[in-house]
Amino acid sequence: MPSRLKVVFFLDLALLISVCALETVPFTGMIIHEWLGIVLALMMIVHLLFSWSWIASSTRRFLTGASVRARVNYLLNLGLFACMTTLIYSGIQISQQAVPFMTRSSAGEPPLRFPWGPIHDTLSNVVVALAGLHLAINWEWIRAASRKLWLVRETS
Amino acid sequence: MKSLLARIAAIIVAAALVIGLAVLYARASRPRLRGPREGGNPETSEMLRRFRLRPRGPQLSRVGGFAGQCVLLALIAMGGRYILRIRL
Repeated sequence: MPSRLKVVFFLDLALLISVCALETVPFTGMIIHEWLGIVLALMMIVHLLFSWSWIASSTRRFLTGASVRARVNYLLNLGLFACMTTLIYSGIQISQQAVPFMTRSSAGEPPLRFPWGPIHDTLSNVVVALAGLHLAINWEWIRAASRKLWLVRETS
Repeated sequence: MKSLLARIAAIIVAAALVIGLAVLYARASRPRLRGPREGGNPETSEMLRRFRLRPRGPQLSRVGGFAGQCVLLALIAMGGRYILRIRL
């Protein structure tokens, strides 16, 4: 049975690689882009569930006695969550393959009533910036986790 | 199990709030392009279809694009770490 740390670490690594792949549609192609986006949504929910204790404690501390760094981290994560959610939702709205396949409906013309396409494009750039900052602020955890995983591997 | 379901429900509620705000924003924004069914230019949908089916480009360029994203993310992370070290 893999340890919790291992699961969280490799899930986060998969999220990171997925974000990079999703940012370059020519690399994946539209079909993989859409399916990977749906998988990313599920991975994001699992990522949030694993981080639940941090979310709960940070929410409680945010208004009372959190440090500047903790508040910046909280707001950054909140922004990343909002952007990712809107990005995924707008992706579902403009989906031409995956969502019509799942809902057994025809894709038809791209929905033009709301400007989801431009919103999707803009937010994808914002998400890269926020994901980079998310990496930066959690860098010490990443280093410690990778060291721990590698050390465990070397000793076993 | 109950607490796991409650957590998932909380995530869904938070996501629904965000989506609600995004929909409100989208409703407030004027559509930039209109298809023939909405009384717009009949060439619009053809143009969008062509855009979606645009060629993917050579293999090297595709892999280069992916690598470029990884490098960009790493650069932002490094810049972020630098700012964090100085400011926070």
